[in-house]
Amino acid sequence: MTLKIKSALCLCCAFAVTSVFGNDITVDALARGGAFARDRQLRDFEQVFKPGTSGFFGFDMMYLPLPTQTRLSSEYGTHDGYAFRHRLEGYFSAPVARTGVDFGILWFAERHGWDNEDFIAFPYYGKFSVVRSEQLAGATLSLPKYGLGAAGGIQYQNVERIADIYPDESDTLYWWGEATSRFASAQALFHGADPRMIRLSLNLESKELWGGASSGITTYLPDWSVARYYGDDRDSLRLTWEQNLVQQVVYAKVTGDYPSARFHSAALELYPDPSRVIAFEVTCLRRRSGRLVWGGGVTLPVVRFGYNNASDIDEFFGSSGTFVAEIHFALGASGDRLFSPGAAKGAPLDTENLTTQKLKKTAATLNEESKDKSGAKEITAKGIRREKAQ
Amino acid sequence: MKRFLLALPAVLLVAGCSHYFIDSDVRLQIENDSETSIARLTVDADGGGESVWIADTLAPGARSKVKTGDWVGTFDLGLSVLDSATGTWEKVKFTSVSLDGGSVFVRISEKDGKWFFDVK
Repeated sequence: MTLKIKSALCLCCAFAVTSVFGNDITVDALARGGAFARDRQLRDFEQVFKPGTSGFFGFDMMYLPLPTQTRLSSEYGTHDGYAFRHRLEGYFSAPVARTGVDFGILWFAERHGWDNEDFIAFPYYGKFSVVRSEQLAGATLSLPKYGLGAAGGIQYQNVERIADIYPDESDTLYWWGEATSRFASAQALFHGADPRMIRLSLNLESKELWGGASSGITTYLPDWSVARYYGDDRDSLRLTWEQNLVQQVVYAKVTGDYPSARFHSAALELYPDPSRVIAFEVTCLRRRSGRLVWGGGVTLPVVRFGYNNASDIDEFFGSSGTFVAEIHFALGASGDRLFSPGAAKGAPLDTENLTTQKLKKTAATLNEESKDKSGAKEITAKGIRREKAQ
Repeated sequence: MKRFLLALPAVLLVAGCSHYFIDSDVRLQIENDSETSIARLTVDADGGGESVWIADTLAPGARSKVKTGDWVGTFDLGLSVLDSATGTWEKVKFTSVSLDGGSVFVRISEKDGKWFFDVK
């Protein structure tokens, strides 16, 4: 018990102390939040949408106990408050009759920004708040037999609240499309006729989950991705290299920007099981000033902890130096396998086997019981009284 | 694992509820403890802009009305003070004032030409 109290105190200290050394969130970073969220939703979907996926469900909610952990730095000073990012993602796909074609629908929703209060549903909408929601909706068609798939739909940004200190923004409708095969995929986002993002990915690594090899040299091939962003002042190309280092259990992931030819972030990831439900990672992120920020994280089935994790810094508007706990769930299903996005192998879905075993057991027990009791006893009804009709 | 799953709804309930325990705005009242009139308490921006918080003009010894503002954090505050010798208003700055949420009562005083912003 004492140990528990001690560890709780240590955790509180970690929250309090780390927040002192944190980097505050800037107005610029929050202004770019919408573009980042739209890109992130499409990246999430790309990881999930493989021909053969029958469903995916995910939710995320960052948990910050103190308003001093993600302070906002504006021209007026430093404001205490909460950066937030809530996500709910769902995708469902099923075969159409016996055509060999899978038809699916998806809905990914996200709400993010900065507010004076933490909340689940109703923000405070303060004088410096920004609250946006992004919806990604669409339909998919895939041919699992040939490993081919296509998807498309809309992406809608709803600006619920944007304070005067941020550049003007309005509700906007985008549309997107994706084509995917076993080894490559292409994704594009448009606003009207203007392209906003195009991403090409080469997924050379052989993954058993998608019909590839379970081991061997082909599992050591790289996954490359290049994304071109339009209409933004940041670097226009983002390159990503993900590499299996040891038996699809240890991976390295590096991202860089072009044309500045700058390193952005790197991560060394350990997945005790290739289904990626549990993960440990060490990360390094390069700030615009050139300073390197080291961090790490642990992902468990329903919770994730991180300190200075590169992805948290990106997602929390550049805020660093703070300990983050996240209620996190991301699980996809393909046939009788469960997986987390990006996994090489699936965790077997044992429900069916267990049910069959249980049924057999129950049947066996019933037989034994009926043998023992066969004809030995007679049930006599008590307490039933017949009354003569007058 | 069972215990953990039981704890999860509790965490979910606590997450997003800290505003029931921590105020996210400041209800500020100032008192003029100096010997001259003061007016217009502002929050000053880097670029020279300002946001007026308490617009009242306060005679020596007077208290302002309570004004609510979204100013929890650390800010530079400005105050106009009356120079009784010349009859003109001058601006005094209080830099890096840290304000917690909730009711805040402040005494503004002056000693040897130096102005003080004391949170009580």
